[in-house]
Amino acid sequence: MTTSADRSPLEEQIAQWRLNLRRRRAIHGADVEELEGHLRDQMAALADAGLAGDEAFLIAVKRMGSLDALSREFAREHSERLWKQLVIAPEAGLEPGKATRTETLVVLGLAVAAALAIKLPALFGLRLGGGDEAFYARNASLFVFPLLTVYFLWKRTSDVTSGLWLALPFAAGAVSVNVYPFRTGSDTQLLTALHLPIALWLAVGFAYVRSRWFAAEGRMNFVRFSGELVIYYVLIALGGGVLTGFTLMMFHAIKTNAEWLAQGWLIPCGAMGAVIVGSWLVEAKQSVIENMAPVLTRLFTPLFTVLLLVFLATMAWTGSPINVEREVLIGFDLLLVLVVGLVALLRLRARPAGTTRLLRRPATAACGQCARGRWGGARGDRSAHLRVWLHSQPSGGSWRESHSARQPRVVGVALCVFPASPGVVCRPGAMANRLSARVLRMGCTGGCHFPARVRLPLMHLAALHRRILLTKGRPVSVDGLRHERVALLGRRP
Amino acid sequence: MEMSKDLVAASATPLVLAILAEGDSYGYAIIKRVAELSGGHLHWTDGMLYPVLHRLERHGLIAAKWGASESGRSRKYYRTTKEGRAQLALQRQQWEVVDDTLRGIWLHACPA
Repeated sequence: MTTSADRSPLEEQIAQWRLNLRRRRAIHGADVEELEGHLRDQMAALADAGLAGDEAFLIAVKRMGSLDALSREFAREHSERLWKQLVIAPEAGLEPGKATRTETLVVLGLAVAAALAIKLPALFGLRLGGGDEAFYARNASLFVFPLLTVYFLWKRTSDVTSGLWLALPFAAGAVSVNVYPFRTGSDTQLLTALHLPIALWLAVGFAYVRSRWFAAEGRMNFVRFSGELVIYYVLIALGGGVLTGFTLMMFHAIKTNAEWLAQGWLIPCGAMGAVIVGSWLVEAKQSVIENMAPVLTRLFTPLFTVLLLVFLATMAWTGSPINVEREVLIGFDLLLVLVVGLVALLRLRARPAGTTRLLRRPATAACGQCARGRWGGARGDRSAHLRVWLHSQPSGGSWRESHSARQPRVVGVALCVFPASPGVVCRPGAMANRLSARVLRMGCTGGCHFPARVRLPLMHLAALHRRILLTKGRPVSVDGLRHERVALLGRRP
Repeated sequence: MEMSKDLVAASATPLVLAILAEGDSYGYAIIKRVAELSGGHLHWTDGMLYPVLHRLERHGLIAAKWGASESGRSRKYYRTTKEGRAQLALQRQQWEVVDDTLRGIWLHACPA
């Protein structure tokens, strides 16, 4: 995989376009390959006609048509693709991925290892059913979290040294938990059993996000992952419960006692293996299916808010103070964690996708369409602003006939393409504050004022004319932009 | 000239089948040939061609296989099948019926 440094900006743009295409559910890997091949053919033909590389890209992208309409057509064609399938297969590529098979094998291996790990202490005489629950409770996370860490280290292809660093907290945890002389039934033991998994989960998180731990985005990713993992784990646990129930019932019907199977094998091994399998599923479905944690968050946040308000009201009404005991405090700790989790997940959803995309990528002409907006006419403006004039194209007409080009005091033309985003509507003044000054070509619809501090290198009108006219005598650029709206920028002296 | 969408959509199938009957081809070449044949009047949105091709493939009217392009990239080539040729003949008959009918009335009503 080439790094971005190796790729030319044109390849970057094509890759961006390809990424955008892949986001459409109805368009699968092979189709994306086909469409990309078509794009490149088109670009080659335009380049032969005399256009520069990035112009050819812009026009080829326009000619490909609106991506929304395209994915609608594909969806109509392949309606079964609309069901977001958890396809654990590589998106790209025409051959089945060896990588996926390797991953499946690794995951299965680790899950089996985790399942066996919990049976290991039985070899040393520490049985689950027979009074050694304390041992198992203390070490529960140590059976599976190291393997999970190994999985993430492998998946992120980290080097061995970081793996060794991460082994430290696990080793420390294992040693301290088993060497410390707990009194049986002591609170210390209970607290340790509760908190060691949390501490080790942080170590797992470090393996998960690797170097991005210090960026807020990395940590939020891990929070998302944890939320999704909990949900998947609960689902798998429910399935496992059903499985156990059926096992017991069926074996009971033939008068065989299967409880040793359920208690000794199914439940513990399943619990451990499910963590690894759940993590794998969360990773696999990241970009495919709508995350469930935010959905559940939106469902439960109002309920929890109402509950808390009622509780506060009752507390104020009855005047009884909170019983300051350890269990109660732990309970409120958990409540705090829950509230923080809900708020964090809500905040993750709250950002509208459209503005983010606009904010993040104004400078690259990354594929697509002009932002949709309303047609606005030229208006007189006396202030020292760059004024955007908007003209919708008469269908089938040539933009050379669009009048603003002939108007006095318009010194240039700038064309740009915004990433396709149906949610973005250009309101007057809205775009101005957000476009960065490095936008080389701009076009948008709707009346926009740009503050004078936005310096936009304008292409000279005559040069654009010339470039267009060079192509086989027919204004090629126009075709691409025929049904889109072109904005012209002029500077009023 | 602005063509009605329905007309463009209806003519897509017979046109693609006829072009593929001339010889195997791929998406971009089909579009170029359409533009050439119509003298620039028929402009197909590039992206819209591919769902059409996929639909025809699904119905068994054309067959596809991946091959290599001149630049070395892999490219999907399409060719017509027996059912495709039969369907083409059928569609041709239908269009000829429509054509004759319209010609009849236009010659009578608006001698132009």
